[in-house]
Amino acid sequence: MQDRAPQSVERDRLSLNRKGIRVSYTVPGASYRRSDRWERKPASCGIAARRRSEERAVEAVSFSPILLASLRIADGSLRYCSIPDATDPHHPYVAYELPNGPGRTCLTADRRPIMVGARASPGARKAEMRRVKRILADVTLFIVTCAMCLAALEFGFRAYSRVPLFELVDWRSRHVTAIKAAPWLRYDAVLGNTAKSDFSSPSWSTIDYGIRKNHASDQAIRTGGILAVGDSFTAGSGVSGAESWPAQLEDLVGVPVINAGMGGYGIDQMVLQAELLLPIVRPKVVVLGSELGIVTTGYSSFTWAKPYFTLQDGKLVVHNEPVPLPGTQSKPIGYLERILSYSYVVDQLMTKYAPLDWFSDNDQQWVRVPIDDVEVSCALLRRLKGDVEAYGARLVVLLQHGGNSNRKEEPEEDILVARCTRAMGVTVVDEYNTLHALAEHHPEEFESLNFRDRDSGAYGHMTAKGNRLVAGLVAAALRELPPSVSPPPGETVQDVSDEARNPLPLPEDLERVTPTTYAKLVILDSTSGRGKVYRLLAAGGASTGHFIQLPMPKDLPAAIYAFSLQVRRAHAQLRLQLVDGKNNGASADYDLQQASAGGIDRLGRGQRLAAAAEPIADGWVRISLTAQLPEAGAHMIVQLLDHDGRTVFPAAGEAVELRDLEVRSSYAVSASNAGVVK
Amino acid sequence: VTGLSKSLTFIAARWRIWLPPVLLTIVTFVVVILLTKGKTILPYLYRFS
Repeated sequence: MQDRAPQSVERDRLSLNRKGIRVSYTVPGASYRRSDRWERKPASCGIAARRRSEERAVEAVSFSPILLASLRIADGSLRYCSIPDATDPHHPYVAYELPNGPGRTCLTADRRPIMVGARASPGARKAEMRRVKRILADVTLFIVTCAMCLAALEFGFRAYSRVPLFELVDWRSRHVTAIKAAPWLRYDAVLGNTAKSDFSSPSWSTIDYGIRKNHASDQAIRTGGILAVGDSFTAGSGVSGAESWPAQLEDLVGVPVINAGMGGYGIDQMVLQAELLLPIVRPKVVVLGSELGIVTTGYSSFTWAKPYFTLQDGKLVVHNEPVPLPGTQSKPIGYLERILSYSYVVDQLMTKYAPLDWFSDNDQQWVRVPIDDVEVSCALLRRLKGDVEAYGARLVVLLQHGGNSNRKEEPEEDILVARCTRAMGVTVVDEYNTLHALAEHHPEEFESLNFRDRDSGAYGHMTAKGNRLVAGLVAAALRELPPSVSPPPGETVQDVSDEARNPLPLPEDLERVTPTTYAKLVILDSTSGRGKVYRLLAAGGASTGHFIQLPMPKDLPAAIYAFSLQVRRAHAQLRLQLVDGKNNGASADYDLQQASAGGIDRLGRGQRLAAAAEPIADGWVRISLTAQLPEAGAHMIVQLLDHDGRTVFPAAGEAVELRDLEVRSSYAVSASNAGVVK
Repeated sequence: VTGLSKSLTFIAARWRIWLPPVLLTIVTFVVVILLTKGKTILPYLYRFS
């Protein structure tokens, strides 16, 4: 038996069966045939093999699940043997390699070799190298071609779209930046976001509660007129405050119109906004204007997190209360997204077909919730109708479409909401028919009513002229309204006399009538021209809280109360509590350094909770707390917290300055309203 | 010239490799243009600006 490896192989024979593999070959110059056999046998990882004919060790053995075998023999006599599944008729051959080159043999159906032997050629290895090089060249050519095609697609589409060819632009971020550029916005725990108070810029100016100024002379909220809530079409994006439709409506009807529109608001946010402002504005008419508000109602985050409602057993249930702080629902942008942002092709496709995913990032997201937008919108409008009428006012719903009025069909959700709103006896102003007729018969006139994007041609907000047309439509509807509205049966309306709305004693008397067991209230400045400034000092014991309870008339009725004051931080934080005689209500903590409401807690059966904080000049912060109290006996508590927000601490000079304390109430809660959950 | 000629010959001979991506790119270009006509999403963006 020859131990060393053969130098060449002239003829070989390979047979394969379920037991193993057998290779026979003739060594040149030798007078005998050599036969080696490897045998399969089950092993933990598949099949193992061992050579029987000789004692030489098998260097490595491995089998894949489909019985591909790779055998390496220490002396190299059989370097490689690949065994496709011998039991699979689709792989009826065995390939193997002998020292001088590859061999191949075919098997018959009964797995017997019919062609035996591969004649190894001396140049087989070189041929194999050439084959590998050719494969590598083909792969390289394919990759280069793909890269060039992608580049050609990008540059070609840029040229077609007439955008800079070679500019390296993060196209996605361009959109995102455009959305974020709204410096007058701030976070609000109830509404998600709202406009800053007393904000002033060349394009946008506000007064209290973020109300947009109709005219530069507007300094304070004018009560008793019309309250306009809505989205950016109501706010007047793209035009000056005087050119918004609320301002032009004011000119037409001659009564104050308060513009509380906010870009991106859904019907849900508009209703909450109206409910918060009703006791403050005390309007005779509330106009709710919606362009995309019905669709937005179906989102828990529309650019920013927002409240949203579901219907459970026919009742509205609010979610996201309080609304998550910005950045707490982060969606990290992946590397792939970052890279693809530089492709104009990808950006345009994603912008059109998956904009919500494409634009979502740490700061802004669009998250759909599984609700029926129309059903929830109708329920919200029904609730608002109850609120408005209980207050003795009337509700008008304005459906806006802007440039999209040129579409053949009005959006179905608008048709359905208009139907349900009219069915509940509310006046609906739908601008679609008017604008659509203009688009059909007077396209130039129609174009002058709407802004258009230069690049895309898409319609945007309405121009001053367009808003004038809308104001005219609303004014016409107001003239058709019945002269007065009676509260529906079962609902009682509180007489909102001045005393009932602002039951706090005059600030001059506050220190005289306030119990000061746990805190001291001292006059700090009585010459500011804005009433007295007080300093509230911690005076409780080491194991007690430090608070005052504001003096209120006894037996104040169940109602929505809004408690607000201005405060300046000295050495403490603050907590407000608004509760009825049965301790139902709300409690909110305020971070005066950050000028933010840190959180609001429901106490008992308190409903419609809202807490807000906004900075004013000179370090003052206006804070407010609103709650619907189901029982009589409303009272307010102002409590000092220490630096760490603890309620119980030994007094060490903790104090804040207070001024302009005010309490307003709206209407008594009826039996039918009390069941509404917010 | 010989090198260039050889390269071109090499590439031409391998049209099965490079032609499919090229054809796919042409089709994609046309599809992208058709798909991006009428950018209706932009009004969403306008609402916040």
